[in-house]
Amino acid sequence: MTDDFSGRQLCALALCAMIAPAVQYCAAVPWPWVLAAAALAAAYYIYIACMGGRLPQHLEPTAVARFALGRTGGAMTLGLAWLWTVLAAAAVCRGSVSAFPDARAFPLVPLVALYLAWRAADGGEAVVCRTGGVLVLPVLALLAAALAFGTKNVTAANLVPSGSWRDAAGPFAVFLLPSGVFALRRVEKGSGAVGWFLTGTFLAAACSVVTIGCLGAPLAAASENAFYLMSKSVSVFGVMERFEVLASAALMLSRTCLLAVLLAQGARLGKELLPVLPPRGGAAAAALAAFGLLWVVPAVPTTVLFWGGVVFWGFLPAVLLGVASLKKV
Amino acid sequence: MKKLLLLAAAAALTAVCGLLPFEGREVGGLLPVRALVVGRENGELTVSGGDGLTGRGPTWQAAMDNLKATVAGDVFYGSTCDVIFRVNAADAVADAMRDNRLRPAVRVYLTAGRPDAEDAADFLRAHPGGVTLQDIQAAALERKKTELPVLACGSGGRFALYDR
Repeated sequence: MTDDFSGRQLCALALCAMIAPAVQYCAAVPWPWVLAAAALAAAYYIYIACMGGRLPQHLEPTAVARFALGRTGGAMTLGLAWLWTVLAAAAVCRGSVSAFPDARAFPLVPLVALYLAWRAADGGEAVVCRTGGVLVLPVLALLAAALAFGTKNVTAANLVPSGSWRDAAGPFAVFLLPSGVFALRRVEKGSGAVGWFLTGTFLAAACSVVTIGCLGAPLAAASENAFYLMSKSVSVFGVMERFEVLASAALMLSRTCLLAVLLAQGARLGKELLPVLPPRGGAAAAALAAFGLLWVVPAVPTTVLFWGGVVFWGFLPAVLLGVASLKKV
Repeated sequence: MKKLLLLAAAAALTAVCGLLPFEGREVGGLLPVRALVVGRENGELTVSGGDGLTGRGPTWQAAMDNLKATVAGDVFYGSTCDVIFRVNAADAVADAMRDNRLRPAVRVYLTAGRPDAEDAADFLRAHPGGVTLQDIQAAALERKKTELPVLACGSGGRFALYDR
C-alpha cells in the first residue's frame, strides 16, 4: 500500500461524500433549480481551476492561506477553517440519524459513523481516498436501484417547473462540498473531474425528478427526508418492497465517507496550524472536537451551517486563490 | 482475533444497555397484514387486519396499540397495501395519514359495508384503487379535498370498486 492517491480516487471520494447531502437537499427541490445550482457551481470550479493553475504546483491548498494573507492572517484563517470543519463534522455526524428515520438512531449510529470515519482519517489521506474509491460503487448501485424502480410511480404532471431561485441555495451548497474534498490536494489534469461532476449533477437531478415526480412538490418540500419517503413507496410487480433499507445503507455509507473527508481536512488544518502535533494526532483531535459538539450542534441554525459551507468551501478558497495568484504576478 | 473479540464485546454491551437502534423480531412471529378495515362500533374505533387481528380503542393510536397488545406475535404493516375506512370512521383518515407504520403508497378506500379484510385484499390486489395516503397528504397540503374510491360489498364476498 502506498501513501499516495490518484486524482481519480479524489474525484470518486468527492462524489461519494456528496451523495448523502445531494439526496437530502436536492430531492425536494424542483429539477430546474438543481441544474441551475450545478451550472453556478461549475462556473465556480472553472474559476478555481484557472486560478489554481497559476500557482506553483508544490503549493498545497492549505498553504495558500499563508501565501496569500501572510503568517498571522493565514494562521487566523486556518484556525477559523478548522473550527468550521469540526462543526461541519459534528453536523454531518449528528445528521447520520436521518438515514434511519424510523429507528432510535441516536447516539449509536452517529458514534459508529464517527468511529469508522476516524479509523479511515487516522490512516491518512490516502486511506480516506481509497475508502471513497471503494464505497462510491456500492453507494451508486444502491441509489440507482431505488431510483430506477421509483421511476414507475413518477407522475409527469408533478414535474412542471415550480419554485423560485431561492430553492437553488441548498443544492448550490451541496455542489460546493467537493471543494472541501479538493482541499486535500489540487486535482490534476486527466483525472476526469468533469465526468465525475456531471455524474454528481445527473444523480442530484435524478433524485429530484423521481422524488418530486412521485410525491409532488408540496409533499416533498414538507417532508423531512423526501427521498426516504419516496423509497418507502417503491413497488415491484404491484407489491411494495423495502427499498428504504437500500436508501438507508447508501446514505449511511456516503455520510461516513463525508465525515472521513472532514476529519482528514481537520487533521491537515491542525497540522498546518500546530506543526508540533504528532502525525496521528490531527484526526484524533478533530474527531474528539466533533464528538464534543455532537450534543451542541442541534442548537445551531441550518442557515449558519449553510452560510458556513458557502463561505469556507466557496468564498474563502476563491478569494485566497485570487489574492495568491495576484501576489505571484 | 483480539479486535473481533473487542467488537463482539462492544456489540453485546450495547445490546445489554438497550442502545441498539432497532428492535429485533423473529420472522416466524410476524403477522403480516395485507389490508386493514377501519370502522366504529359503540363509539370505539375498530381496526381489523383479518385472521382474528382486531384492535379497538377511542382513538386511532389506541386501537392500533390494542391490536398490537392482543395478538401473540408482531403485527407487520410492511405488507399492508390497502386501508378500507367504513363511512362511520372516515374521520380517521387523517390519523392514518400521520401513522409512520403505514407506507405512504398504501391505497385508501371508503365503504358502506362490513368487508372481511382478507377477502377485500384478494379483490383489491386484482383491482387496485388510485388514491394513496401520500395523495391525500399532498392534497391536504394544497388545501384540496380528495374523493376516495368506494368499495361496494355484495353478498357472498363479492366486491365492486367505484370512483366518485
